[in-house]
Amino acid sequence: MKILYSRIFIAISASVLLMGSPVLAEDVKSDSAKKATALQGQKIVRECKNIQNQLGRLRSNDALIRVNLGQNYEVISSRLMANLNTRIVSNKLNGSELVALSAEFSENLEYFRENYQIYERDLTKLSHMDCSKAADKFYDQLEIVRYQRSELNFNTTKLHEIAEEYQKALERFEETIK
Amino acid sequence: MFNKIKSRFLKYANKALKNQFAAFITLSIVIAISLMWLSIWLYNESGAAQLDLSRPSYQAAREEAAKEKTEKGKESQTQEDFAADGVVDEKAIKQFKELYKSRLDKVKSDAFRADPLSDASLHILDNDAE
Repeated sequence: MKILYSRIFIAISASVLLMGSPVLAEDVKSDSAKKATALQGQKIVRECKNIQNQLGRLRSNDALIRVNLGQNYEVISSRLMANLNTRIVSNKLNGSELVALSAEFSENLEYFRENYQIYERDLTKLSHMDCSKAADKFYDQLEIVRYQRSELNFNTTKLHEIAEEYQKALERFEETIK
Repeated sequence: MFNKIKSRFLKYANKALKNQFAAFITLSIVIAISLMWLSIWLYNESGAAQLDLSRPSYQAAREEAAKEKTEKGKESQTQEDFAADGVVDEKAIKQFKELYKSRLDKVKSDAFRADPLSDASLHILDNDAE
């Protein structure tokens, strides 16, 4: 009886593991993404080495951009906005608009960090693919990376907008204390 | 089946007890490998890997960062932090604005434009122009 139950348990576990194939976001995105044409496939195979060199340089440049942006965003968020908010609160002034904008900035900064990780992983995967042998799969992955990069661009644009809005809110706040 | 696994485990455990030194070395190696695997996993999962410019493929980025660092070195001597305590008057707001503007000017809003990954940049346009 025990042996029967243990075999049933193993069979059920194995079937659950085999059946459940998670639908990855990449699968969903690649369904609606552009596919490579035959001409593009030929060009990918021909230019494979150049493309891989370009992707390597892009990874390197993006890493530097990420480090510089990250440092500046971090200073803006935690050493400027946060310190000003603390000073405003300790002086019992009303800086609610500034506090709300700095919270929005922190939230979007977190999205930027997460999206960069996803983007960099996909870009690394793309740069390690052998485009001379599987041009279609390479182009599919390229479309995924393009999507991730556009998300990242959206994040940096949004952060810049919030930072500029903070500047304007600061002007309004300055009027109240004059 | 579980009894078989249990008896095998006890057999190896007894062997290990007889050769304690060998068991100690083996266990140490297993623990070291496990911890090394865990640290590499954390390094990748935490996002530190993406920010680590010491990686071999980031040589160009390192050189650029070193150049920027020497240029920044001259600037940062004059830059100060905005203190979290103190009064909030026009002078403080003016100081904050200067520090804030200097940081904001360094941040580009379109740092991750689509150009570098376009079909044109990668020379894979869907026409015979190339």
